[in-house]
Amino acid sequence: MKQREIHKFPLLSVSDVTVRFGGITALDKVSFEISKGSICGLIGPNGAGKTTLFNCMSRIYDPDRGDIFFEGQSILSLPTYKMSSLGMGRTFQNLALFPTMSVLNNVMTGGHHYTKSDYLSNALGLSWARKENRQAREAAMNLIDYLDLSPMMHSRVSTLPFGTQKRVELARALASRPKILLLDEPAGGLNHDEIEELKELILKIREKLNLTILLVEHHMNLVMQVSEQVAVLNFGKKIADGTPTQIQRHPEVIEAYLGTG
Amino acid sequence: MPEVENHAVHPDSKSGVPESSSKTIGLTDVEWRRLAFVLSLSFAVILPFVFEGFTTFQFTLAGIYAIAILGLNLLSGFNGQISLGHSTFYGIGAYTSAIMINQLEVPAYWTIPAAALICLSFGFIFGLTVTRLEGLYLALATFALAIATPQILKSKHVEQWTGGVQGLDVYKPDVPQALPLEADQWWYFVVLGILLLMLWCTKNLVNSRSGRAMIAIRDNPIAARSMGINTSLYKALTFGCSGLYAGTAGALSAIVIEYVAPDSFTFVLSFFFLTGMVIGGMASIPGVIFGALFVLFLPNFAEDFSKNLAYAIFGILLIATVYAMPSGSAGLFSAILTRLKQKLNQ
Ligand SMILES: Nc1ncnc2c1ncn2[C@@H]1O[C@H](COP(=O)(O)OP(=O)(O)OP(=O)(O)O)[C@@H](O)[C@H]1O
Ligand SMILES: [Mg+2]
Repeated sequence: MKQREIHKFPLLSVSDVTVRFGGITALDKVSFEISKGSICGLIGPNGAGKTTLFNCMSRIYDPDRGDIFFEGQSILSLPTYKMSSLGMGRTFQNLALFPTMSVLNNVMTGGHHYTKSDYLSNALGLSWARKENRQAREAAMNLIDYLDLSPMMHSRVSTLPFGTQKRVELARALASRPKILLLDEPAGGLNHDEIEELKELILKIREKLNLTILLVEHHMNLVMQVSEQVAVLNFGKKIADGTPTQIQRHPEVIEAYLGTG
Repeated sequence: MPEVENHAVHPDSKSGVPESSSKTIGLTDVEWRRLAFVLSLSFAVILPFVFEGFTTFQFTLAGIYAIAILGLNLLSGFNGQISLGHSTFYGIGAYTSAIMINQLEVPAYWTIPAAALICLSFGFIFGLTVTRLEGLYLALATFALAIATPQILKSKHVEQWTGGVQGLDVYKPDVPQALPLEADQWWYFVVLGILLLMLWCTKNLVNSRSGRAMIAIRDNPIAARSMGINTSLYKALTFGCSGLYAGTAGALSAIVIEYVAPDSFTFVLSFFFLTGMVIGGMASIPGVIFGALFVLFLPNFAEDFSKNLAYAIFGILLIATVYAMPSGSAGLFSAILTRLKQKLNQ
């Protein structure tokens, strides 16, 4: 891998985050930092709390304790819908597309926060609003093309296979021009070759779009090959955090996860 | 944004219309749609010259219903917010117009935008207050509006404006002198014009940034929020906009019928709008016209059939219709068109 400059400045930092659901503690005082420009893997067995952490970062869940900082600012007082304009893009483990919309409209919706046309201008079809819509469509089509989704651009997303829908979600997340991209199991439902392609894609978009990526994935090869940093969760606790090589040698990780997987 | 290597952009997709290189008897889908629109419009224009006054009047009412149903469809069909309270918005629109004409002597035409704006504000505020309610709970909240309305209109406190149980008479302005039209025909065209304007606005809206936000909220509110959509604001705005449509329709009905009374705005009217929307097709824009014709003419037809059992017959016809076209007229039409296309292209 090419040596790249990774800034020391943490783009995102999680500090002492605790989340409880009734009796269970999904996250237990989790802290870590992601440097700008890096790819960070987040691994752990089923139910370890990875998705819960994503949901805290994207303001879907409120942590019971702790704080989350993005570019040095606490995000916990912000509403969910502000996260997108802040630069937080994400995909969902079990898909959260807009099922009745076409691929194109799904991806265009990703550009909602930086387009400005209002209700009235849209209803009256004012020319600036139409122009903005055309630009949004072109931007979306470029992404669709980039992710090889052009042939199904006008299909309803709910009619597409799971793997393709995952790619539409990625396109939608990229359409929001994120600074950090949270990917929740992007390799789910993909075969070996497709996972290789995904690996290339992740590295390529990071370079091209200047992204920082947080990657939740059960596919160990993928995580270890693309990440500069890997954090490991087990029963809501962070048990390790380091380079892929360090993680692969970490005794607790081997016991909790790698050994059984 | 990524600088993408090759811009393989489909020429058709610029217009936002799904690509349809396939032609049926020499015309593309878009051209067929335009043709259908021009034909229906021509038919609508000829209609008041073919039928007698009362039938024209009924078509005028159908147009007014179509406007209200369009508003309801924007809210429920596109935004996923159910409302059983549209009789209230319709009633507020009608009374705004009636009070302004009858008591303040404002020219009738000006009362239409006034009613629209009042209902827009009311809808927006109501929408904001119920923004956390969904599904059946929202249905109940809006139903509460609908059942309260007739009594409020009759109440002693507002009687001096609303005319209480008696209601209010409304004076319909004359036909502009330059036009060789009967009053029924003129008002038919006024309603047709407003309906066309609103159909056009709705089409613009649902194909825009705001429309995508509305549909996204219906499809997946959490994902919508994550994509930067202020869901509460859009839901309230859509409620307001939907109220504007219903209020406009109400104002037109007051003028055209030349009378308002509390019992014209009971919850039954809300259910008629709901029926029209479902029969026309959820989230279908042209469907609202079919839905409006259905709820206007079917009860008449049932009544002609048997006076005593009119509602029972209406009910049976309703069930039969829902059974025959489970996804509304829009679903049925598109199924027929697909079949026809296959046949013709063989
Ligand atoms: N909304 C919720 N309500 C109740 N419990 C929840 C909720 N979300 C997550 N949990 C629980 O929190 C724990 C952590 O779940 P989470 O989905 O974060 O795990 P995960 O690491 O993403 O697992 P997987 O690899 O299976 O996706 C689990 O025990 C789960 O049952
Ligand atoms: Mg998960």
